[in-house]
Amino acid sequence: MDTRYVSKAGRDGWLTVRLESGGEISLPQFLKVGVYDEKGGREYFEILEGAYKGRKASVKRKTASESYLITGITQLPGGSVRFDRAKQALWYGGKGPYSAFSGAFTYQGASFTQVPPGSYPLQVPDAPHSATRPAYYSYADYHKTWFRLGLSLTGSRFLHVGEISEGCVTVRAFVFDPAKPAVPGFEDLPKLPAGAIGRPYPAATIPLGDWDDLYSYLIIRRANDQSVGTLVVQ
Amino acid sequence: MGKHSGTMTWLALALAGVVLSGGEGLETRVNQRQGTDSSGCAAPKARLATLVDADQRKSSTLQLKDLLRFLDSVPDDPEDCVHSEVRGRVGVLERTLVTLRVAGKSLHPQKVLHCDAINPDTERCEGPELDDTPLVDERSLTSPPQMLPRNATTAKLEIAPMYRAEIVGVYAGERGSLQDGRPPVRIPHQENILQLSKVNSMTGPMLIVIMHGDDSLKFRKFVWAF
Repeated sequence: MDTRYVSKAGRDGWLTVRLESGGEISLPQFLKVGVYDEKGGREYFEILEGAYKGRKASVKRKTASESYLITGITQLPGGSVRFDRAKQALWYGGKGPYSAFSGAFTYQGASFTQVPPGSYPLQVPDAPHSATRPAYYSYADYHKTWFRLGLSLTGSRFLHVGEISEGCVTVRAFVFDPAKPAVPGFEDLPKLPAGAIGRPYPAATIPLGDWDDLYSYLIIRRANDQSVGTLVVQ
Repeated sequence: MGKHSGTMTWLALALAGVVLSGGEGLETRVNQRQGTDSSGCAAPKARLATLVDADQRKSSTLQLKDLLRFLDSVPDDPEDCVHSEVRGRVGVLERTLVTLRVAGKSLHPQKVLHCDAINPDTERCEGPELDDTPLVDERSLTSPPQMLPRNATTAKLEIAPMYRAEIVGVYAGERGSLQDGRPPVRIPHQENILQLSKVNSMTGPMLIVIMHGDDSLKFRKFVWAF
């Protein structure tokens, strides 16, 4: 098998492929695969890491001379992210602090709670988020990549970019200011429960980060074949 | 920051011509992954725009049929020029075609996920979309809440006659416990009549109906949050 890595396909970094068993899945940038055949303009490969490890899939070639599955990629050791709930601050790879928060509020009688303190593996992303609002493209090309906390595929706490947090670790795209005109695409923010947008803000102002930079830091890293690194929540 | 404009996406949404009504917290879940504007994407995008334009006055079921036929006509879409957009449009339509009828009220699902397979142990949706079942779409947080009428013991799943999909399973769980990874419990049902006793005892329940359609999108996960 010829070891390759998923290249950046669409603007959001995901490559859509067809499973040999039928159906379609999306693979994240830099995911390791093993190409075992090429015929009829398609490359056939085994997925070597992540949620679909061991599954066989195929994708057509980008052009006659170009493939979506590339060589020359060296994955880096697992990344390190730290998040302080009280300070609403996040650090990664020696950078930070950057503005981030974990929401806590009640909706229809159900409570959304902050992510509990602890150490969490950050999962290799298994699929792009299909419901983030298009206005996030103004802030981050990779806003559809959410890193799941923990190694279970059923938990639904994520590290992601956003303005609203339902108990995830949410890296702010911008800081909402109720005294200023509404940001296009985010006119609903003033109507949301304060806890969903991380208000009241902490006394110390934390600078904004760049989600695409954090994405780029994590997406090429591996702690093991299921994880890009570790998030410590304080 | 301010790197890019979302104008094209909103324009595409406006072109969708899909009118949702019902006031039950329906929000469009149309979304695009915005494939690159390479020449490979231009043709299918133009075909989709033409289809959507032509379908504006058709019924939901006919629009759905056309969209599914279109999806099958683009079997390969590595850069996601149109697939996620089509799935988003299909989801918007499906939320009007499958509803829960409880005590005289029709409740539309908050979200529909499309899945190639359903994990038999966790009911996780496997496929091209992230399964975020316990999370409420952020644009739905400001919609009027949907409440299960008190003392309702059963609910009827109403499926539009032309919508060809069968119920595979019905599940429920408390939102918080689902978010922390606990699997939902099975809800008894006979054909499309659901027993609500387990749901009524939950705080912040989510009702999940998994259906299998006879089309290339295979499984659907309809989710109601109460």
